[in-house]
Amino acid sequence: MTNCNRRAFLAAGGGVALMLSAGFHVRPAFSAKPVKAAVIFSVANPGNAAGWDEGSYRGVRKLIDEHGWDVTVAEAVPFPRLADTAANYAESGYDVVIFTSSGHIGAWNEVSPKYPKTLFAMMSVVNALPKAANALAFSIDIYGYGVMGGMAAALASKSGTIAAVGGAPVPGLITWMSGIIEGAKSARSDIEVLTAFSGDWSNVPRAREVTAMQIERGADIIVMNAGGSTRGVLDAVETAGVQCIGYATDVYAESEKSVLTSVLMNIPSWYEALALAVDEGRTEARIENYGPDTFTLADMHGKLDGAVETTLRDTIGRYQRGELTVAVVAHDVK
Amino acid sequence: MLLLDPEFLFGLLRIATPLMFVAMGVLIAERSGVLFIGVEGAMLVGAFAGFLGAGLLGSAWLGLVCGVLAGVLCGAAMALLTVSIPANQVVVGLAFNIVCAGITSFAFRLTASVAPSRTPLLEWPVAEGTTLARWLGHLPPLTVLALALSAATAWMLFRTAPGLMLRSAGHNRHAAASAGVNVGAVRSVALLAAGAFAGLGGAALTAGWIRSFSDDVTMGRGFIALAAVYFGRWYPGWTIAACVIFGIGEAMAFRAQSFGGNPHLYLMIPYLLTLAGVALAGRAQGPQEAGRTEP
Amino acid sequence: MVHASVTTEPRGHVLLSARFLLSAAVMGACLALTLAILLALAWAVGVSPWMVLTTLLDGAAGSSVAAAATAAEAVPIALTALAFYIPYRTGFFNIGAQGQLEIGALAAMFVVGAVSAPPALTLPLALLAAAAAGGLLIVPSVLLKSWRGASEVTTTIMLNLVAVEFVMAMVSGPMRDVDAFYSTTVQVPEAVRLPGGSLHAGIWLTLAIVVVAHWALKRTVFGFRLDAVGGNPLAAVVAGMPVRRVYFQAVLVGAAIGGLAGGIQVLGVLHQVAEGWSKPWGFTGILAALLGGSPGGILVASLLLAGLETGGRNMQAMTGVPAAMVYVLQGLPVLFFLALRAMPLVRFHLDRKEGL
Repeated sequence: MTNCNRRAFLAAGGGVALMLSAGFHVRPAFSAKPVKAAVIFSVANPGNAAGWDEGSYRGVRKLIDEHGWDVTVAEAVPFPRLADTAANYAESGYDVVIFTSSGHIGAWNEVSPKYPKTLFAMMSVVNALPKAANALAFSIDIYGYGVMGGMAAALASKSGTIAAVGGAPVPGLITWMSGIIEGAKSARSDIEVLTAFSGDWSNVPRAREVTAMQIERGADIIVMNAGGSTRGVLDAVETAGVQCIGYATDVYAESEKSVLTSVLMNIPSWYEALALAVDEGRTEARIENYGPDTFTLADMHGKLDGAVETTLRDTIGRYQRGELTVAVVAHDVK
Repeated sequence: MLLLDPEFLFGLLRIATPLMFVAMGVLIAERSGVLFIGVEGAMLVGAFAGFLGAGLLGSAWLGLVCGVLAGVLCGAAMALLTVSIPANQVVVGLAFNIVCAGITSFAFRLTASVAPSRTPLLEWPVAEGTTLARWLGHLPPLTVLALALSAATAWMLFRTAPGLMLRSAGHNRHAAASAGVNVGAVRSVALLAAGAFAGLGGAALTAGWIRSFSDDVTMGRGFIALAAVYFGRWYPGWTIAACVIFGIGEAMAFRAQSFGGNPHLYLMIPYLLTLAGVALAGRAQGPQEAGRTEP
Repeated sequence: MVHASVTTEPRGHVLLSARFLLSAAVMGACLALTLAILLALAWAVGVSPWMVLTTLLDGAAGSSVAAAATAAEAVPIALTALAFYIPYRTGFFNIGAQGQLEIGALAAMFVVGAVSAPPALTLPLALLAAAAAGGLLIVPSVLLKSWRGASEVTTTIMLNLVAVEFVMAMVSGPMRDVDAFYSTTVQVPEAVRLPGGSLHAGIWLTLAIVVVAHWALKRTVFGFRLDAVGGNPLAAVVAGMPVRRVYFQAVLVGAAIGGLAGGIQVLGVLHQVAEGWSKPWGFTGILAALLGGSPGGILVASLLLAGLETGGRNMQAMTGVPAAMVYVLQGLPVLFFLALRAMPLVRFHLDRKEGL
């Protein structure tokens, strides 16, 4: 399996055989050459995905444009193929392999110990490291992130009902929704929080109709995290004339009429931090956790009444500074 | 009663409308004797063209026109492959679907920097406040268009001479040929029309419903339209009914999720309903020529 | 039809080499055309065409690891191709191989989780369960066709969609690995995996199935009856054949092989059933069946399509070109091949009985 001296026999055209050998190796900290990195996405076309993957893609652009990294992007990699794909990079002499989703944790755990010369970075929600010295994670407090969205939605809601709409019911998303429920309740005790999953990350019509139903059930603020089907959520919200809160990146430009605000994660900054860590050779195994103080509420473009917005920003600010504590409850959302 | 709930009704019509267009396309193709497995790909191409056209030209209706044009191109490709050459209809259709998935995904990426990610809303092209606008009210424009086109298709197929020629080409090629019908020409024209319908259905999905595009956005809806035609025993009225039944199934599945439980179990409902529908439809005799390859 | 198959049999060997050479030449031309388009696309997105070509070939067969991966990838394609091809001989279109594969994989996974027997017993049991599940999934289609005349094209496609949702419901529900970060079953334990590493036993099993199928279809009464039933059911009845039984046998055997494909894929390669775990092997398999035109041909076509898949994956991962190029890469050569082969001149020289 770990054949570093790979040779390829290529028969081309009239039978000319060419030989290629791949497999040089550079240790990032001692090298003058650009860092050779591979980024693994499970979605296709991450640069146009509105939300989490788009944020990650901007981070990747920073590595290329500002840090001069030589980056290859693998996209649409199905979950069971992740480990093979990462191993393939490690064997081909890549210095850094970057995972972009918590769905990649299994592969990260599996591959990191096998290729000690490669640095494996996880840029998503994690709570434990693989048993390896060459693994590094930039994670967020997804519960706290949910709390902020829940607070904003509860305080902006006129109907007293809000809804969290997600893609597939994965652990990170359930934690996020639990945060929304508790955050909303802490800001406004009489709030009703609906939760719904569209079932996957790609079926746009399905996400649209599931969202439309939550609106029909009374929700006037939708907190969303639907990955590739985000635009379905946006359309349901826009058609019904209610408002939504965006995930990860500012989605205001996608639908000016219906995006109240977005709870921003500064995803590109994690990639900056990774670049710095590699440049300075500080690649020891650790999880760097980004808490509520690193999230920001995007511009509301005057959509809320001045006093409401002030209360909202003030409440969230107090939570971010730790002056307001919100209970951590694991809800069994379905 | 669920069906009287207007939100439920509009929901199921949103789901059923693109299927109605596509199913009419399949019906025309199959009535002329061509198995239109490539409909999924043609719908996907129409969906992308509809999205791109609506975004760039700033009008959902122009997007639909783009969808139709792209669909006609797909129909022409199918006609070339399955009528002029002719290669096996099933395998050409399947390969065509795969190629379309690749081409649309590729084109979506190339155009992402120039086209807006969401398209304008589709509304009745009449001035607000007029009597006509009040009359049309909340009627979904595309559903009305789909029903009108289905009625026109039914009339054309069963009440006109070209319709008779088309059906005879699908029923028995030799008999049709000896009666002076140019079977190849009839089928080619039928495929162009079928492609137009499939493209329109795709555009109805993107420009008319979800107002955006993503890779493989049709997700098997072309195949479902194919099933609707079989359920409808190659008759327009029953085919439309099948599309509505599927719409009911999917709209119910979305609703049932709020009762709790695993969403994927509910999402089996529309397909099982379609299966049950096909089972209950009774013995059907399709156009005998559909699926045959021999020139 | 029946007579044709008898009379062309002796000519088969004489024509084999010429026919084979022509097929190969046509296939080569199609691949060359596709590559030309691929390189143009690479150039359009600003990636070196040379890099695209080398990573493609490297990923398909550039090393023993890559070649083994291609062989493993060919397994589900070849088996689902047979799942389509065997019923097709009787005139039944089984478009449902993808669903049979999905449900087969789930059944194998279920046996692995539920049965606590020695691996030597669990493994064959899991494969049997996979085959049985695949066979069961087609029963509604067969019954609906013979009772109600319902088109199997519709019902098998619907059952595909049902199977996909059912598998998702299971892996995100009762069969879910609670510790995983996406919807998946637990991993198949090392002991119950198909032995042989990257060249796992499933590859040899597939080879054996293809050989047996080739022999059975060409040289046995069963194969002869399939063609008779597919060619002219009325004549077959007159000739005293048990038409219904032949027909059911062919369809069930096909679907069972489709289910087995899923079992082998999960026990030999992926070791888990998860959201998005499968590729559309079942549909690629239909392409392989119609390209190959016989079990032997299916093997060749499957290897080729598998090579495009593994090579395409490597190309995407190593050069960062859009994943969409991989689809283009798989669909185009098939379309070209069909178009070229159906050209009158080419068709004249190919044995029409074999060409579908």
